[in-house]
Amino acid sequence: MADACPFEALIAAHALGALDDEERTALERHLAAGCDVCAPELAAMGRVAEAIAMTASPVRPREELRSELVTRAAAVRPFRPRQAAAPPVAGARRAGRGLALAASIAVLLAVGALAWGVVLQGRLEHARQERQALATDLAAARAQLARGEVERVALLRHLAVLGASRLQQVQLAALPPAPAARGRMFLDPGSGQAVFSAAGLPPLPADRTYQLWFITGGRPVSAGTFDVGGEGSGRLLVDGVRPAAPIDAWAVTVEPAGGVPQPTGSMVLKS
Amino acid sequence: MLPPELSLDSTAADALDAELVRRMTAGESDALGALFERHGGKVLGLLLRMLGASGEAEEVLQEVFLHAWTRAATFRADKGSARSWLIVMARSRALDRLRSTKAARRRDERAGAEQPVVAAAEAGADLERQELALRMRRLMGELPVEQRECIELAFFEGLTHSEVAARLGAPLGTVKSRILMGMRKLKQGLGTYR
Repeated sequence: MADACPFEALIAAHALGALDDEERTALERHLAAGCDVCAPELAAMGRVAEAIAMTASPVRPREELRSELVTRAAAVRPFRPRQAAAPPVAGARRAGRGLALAASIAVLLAVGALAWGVVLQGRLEHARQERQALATDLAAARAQLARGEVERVALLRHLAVLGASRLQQVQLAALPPAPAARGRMFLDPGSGQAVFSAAGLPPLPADRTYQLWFITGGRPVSAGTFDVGGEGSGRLLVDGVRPAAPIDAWAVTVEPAGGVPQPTGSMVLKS
Repeated sequence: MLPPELSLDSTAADALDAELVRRMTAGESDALGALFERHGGKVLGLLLRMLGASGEAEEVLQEVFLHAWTRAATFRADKGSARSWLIVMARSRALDRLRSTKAARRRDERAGAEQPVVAAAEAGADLERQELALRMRRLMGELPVEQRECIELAFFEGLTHSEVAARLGAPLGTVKSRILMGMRKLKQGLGTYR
């Protein structure tokens, strides 16, 4: 096939990152100048490259990785509440004292009391260690604050859905596997957010979970999984409920922990 | 409570991801956790395929999501999906590692450890993209083996076509032509998708 632009044949290798430096530089210069043939080819080959990435089988990360990530994130960029400033944390005050001590020791060292040098260096090291320990405390306190904030944000989001002006309400009735169960769905069609609450559901073993579905266009779509406490009640906030076709029904099934793409277990609630 | 894993059409899934990234810019670490739940498996799968050793893949996985956290404000939903953003970051970081001096040793280790450490699970992926992944695997499988081999060496091992040629002992022109023909077949097979 004849190429409309001599550079077009390089695009496929470019999308894979396979061009040698010289060719890559030449192509990038050509692309920067604008080319009606190469620009769409670049976009198309970019999509092919992205699809190649999808051929690698997904591997569920270890459970701890998620919590480690969230904790590390809280330390990397301290959480900034959007409202009133949080009260000072005890750890922060202690860290401040550690820093002040280190700084004052550094000043003493600077005036050059040589006879005291060794002693002061020892104390400086001690202060450094104290500061390090306090920094760890501070990171833990921040992580705890962030967890509290997560709960607060979740509650606020529930309240925001329930306060919507055009709230749709759907009752879910019990089915034989859980005769005492009852469920209610509150959907804000404007935002596509919904709050589901259920009660009277039997607690499940650790390898099982409840999964909420909505049926639209004749096919079930997962709206997420939830667990119930000892009293048999559970709650779920669902984002992005904006199916192309109307929702025909809501249902809850019992599924393997983590949920499944399509329902497989017994149905306990249905609208 | 965190937002649940969702199975949605790809437009809704992209919108949900964009919202999660927006919340990350406001410092909501639960949004980062939710993004990780939705895409961590796909990113880890890619990293394991590229880097082999699971410890290093997990390390890069965390780096990618931490980078997404600190750079969330630079994400542009109109330029592409958050999923693509994460995949591009992951591949770029994995390539940096592969191209480091330790790359050869790592590739040797991988030869004996191709299997994933944990069974694959695609919960949270939208159905359209699950179907697309299946279709792409089939298309790759239908390519002549020499074309597939060149494409995979370039994509997953970060080799340039000269390096692919050296690895396979094939002429450079042949490798270029295999990559071009293979990629064009894949493009044709995929048709259009978001």
